[in-house]
Amino acid sequence: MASESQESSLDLNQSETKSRFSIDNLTLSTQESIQGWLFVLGKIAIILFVIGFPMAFAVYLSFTDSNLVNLPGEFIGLENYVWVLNQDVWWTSLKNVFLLGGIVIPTNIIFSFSTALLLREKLRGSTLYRVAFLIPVSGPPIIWAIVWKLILFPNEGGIINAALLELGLIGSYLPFLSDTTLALPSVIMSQMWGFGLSMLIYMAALAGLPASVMESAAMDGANKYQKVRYIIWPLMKPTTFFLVVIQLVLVMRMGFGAVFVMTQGGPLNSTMVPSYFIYQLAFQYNSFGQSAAAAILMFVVTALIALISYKPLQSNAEYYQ
Amino acid sequence: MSSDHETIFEDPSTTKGMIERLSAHAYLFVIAALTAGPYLLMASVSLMELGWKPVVPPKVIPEVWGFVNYLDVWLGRTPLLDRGFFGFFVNSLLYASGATLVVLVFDSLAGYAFARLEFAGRDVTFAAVLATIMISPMILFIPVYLMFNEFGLVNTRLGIILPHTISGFGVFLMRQFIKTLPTSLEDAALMDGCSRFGVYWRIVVPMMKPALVTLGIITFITVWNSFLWPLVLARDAALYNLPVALGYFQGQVSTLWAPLMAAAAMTLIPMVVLFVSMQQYYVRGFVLGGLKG
Repeated sequence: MASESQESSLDLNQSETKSRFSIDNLTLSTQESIQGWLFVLGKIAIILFVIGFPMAFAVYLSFTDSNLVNLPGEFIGLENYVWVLNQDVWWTSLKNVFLLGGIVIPTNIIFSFSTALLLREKLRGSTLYRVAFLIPVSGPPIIWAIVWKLILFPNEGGIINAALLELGLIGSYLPFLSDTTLALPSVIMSQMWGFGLSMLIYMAALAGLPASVMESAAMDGANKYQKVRYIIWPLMKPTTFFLVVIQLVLVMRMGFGAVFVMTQGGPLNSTMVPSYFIYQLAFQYNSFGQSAAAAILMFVVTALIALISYKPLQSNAEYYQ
Repeated sequence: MSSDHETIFEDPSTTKGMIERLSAHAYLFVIAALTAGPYLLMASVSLMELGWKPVVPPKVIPEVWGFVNYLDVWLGRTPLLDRGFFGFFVNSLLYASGATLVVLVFDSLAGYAFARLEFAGRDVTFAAVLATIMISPMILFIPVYLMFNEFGLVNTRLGIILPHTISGFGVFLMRQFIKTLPTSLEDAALMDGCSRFGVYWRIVVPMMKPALVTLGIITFITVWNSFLWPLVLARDAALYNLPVALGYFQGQVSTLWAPLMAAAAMTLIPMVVLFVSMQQYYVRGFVLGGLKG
């Protein structure tokens, strides 16, 4: 609001106040910076120690022929990566884990959305159903594999074998876990029932729906299946996206416990998944360099998945102010 | 959650409403049978005093039942397992509570700074902390194992706890929660000359209790159920946690189903109780952390 004539003197004043303020600001912000870093120091130290440095070390190892007795090994360039990419079992493991995810993720969404919706209906025994759906996700995934092994185990005939035999549907025991065509479906079967947490998240999202949405749908005489399909399901889109993306980013870790317990990757690598392959390379063959290369390839796949799914997740987050 | 929300089904007194309810029950029952059925079988087999031998037709109800399998497993009296599950239980408890404590302290401190303080490199650091959520243990376990070996951390309780405290999820959760709190009280305290740490400790922490409970439960259950890190870092059976003990146990005694199922039940039951009773807290973490970003 200064007039032309006062401009020069004001200019002087302004520059003086500006410099005074900036000195104050600097001290304040330096103080706050130091305080800020003191607050985050503990977490950052742990992350650097257990993630930062090991990540760099893993990259280094992947370019060497390191193993248990030869550590750190010679630099051998991309040899480990070439080796991994030339292994049939690597590609089998990728195919298996994507098949596993391709079945587990959609069924997770279907089961969790449908059960969340039905549990709203105040049916008798709702609490019992809810607990039944929550049991698998409470405990370690390794137990999923153990209980399903009890049901499917082949040596003396598990419970499914016994039942099928009793019904006369099969003549002899089916080797669910040692047959190359049956083993992978058996592993996948054991992983399909951990949808309880997604169900709870859907339930929270459904409870957050404004009552007016449902009332207006009822007033418009909307058929209830149309109501679910065209009103509720689209409103759940951000939740669905969140659940799908989280599981997609974690897809490369899927199945480790199940494979460890049920098949050890066999028979003939038919149930191998990348995580078990990496574990086996490191701790059964002590081939740290090759294992690190496979782990980094797995990380690249994960990062690509995260990168592709980041945009749609962002745009959908806007639904929630 | 209001109890009188609009439902989709017709009134139960009408025929249509009855049919809808019956089909819903049928659907839920089938899913529940597939979800919880194996665990009922687990419970039943674990109670069979004479063990379980698959026969045709299969016997799923114990003829003679009792808790002898639980006692044998707890005290390590089962063949091929010379160590009681009591020890593994204590380890699981130590790892889960140790990691939870570390996570609560460091994540709430960092979350407070990221929510309230302006400091150089804050946004970049926060993004880096968030990116840790994506890092799979698979890429870390070899270098961490080799490094911890150098530092004498392999086969120690501290070494097993550390990798369970790295996730940036808790920092994110704390930051999101603190951002929803009003700043007036904090500002007033700062004006009165209270230190930053004083503000954090006396004002923010008490208001953060619900978020701390959420993060605590999520961390505790995750670490209790952890399999890979203890598998890699505990070389000595004395340091196994329950899932790792279970993993080795099932490999050794693939036909001793009754004790194995008792062991699995002992691992699972505390978490079912915790998870089912605290489910609202657990979910709040995901809703706050995941959706309202």
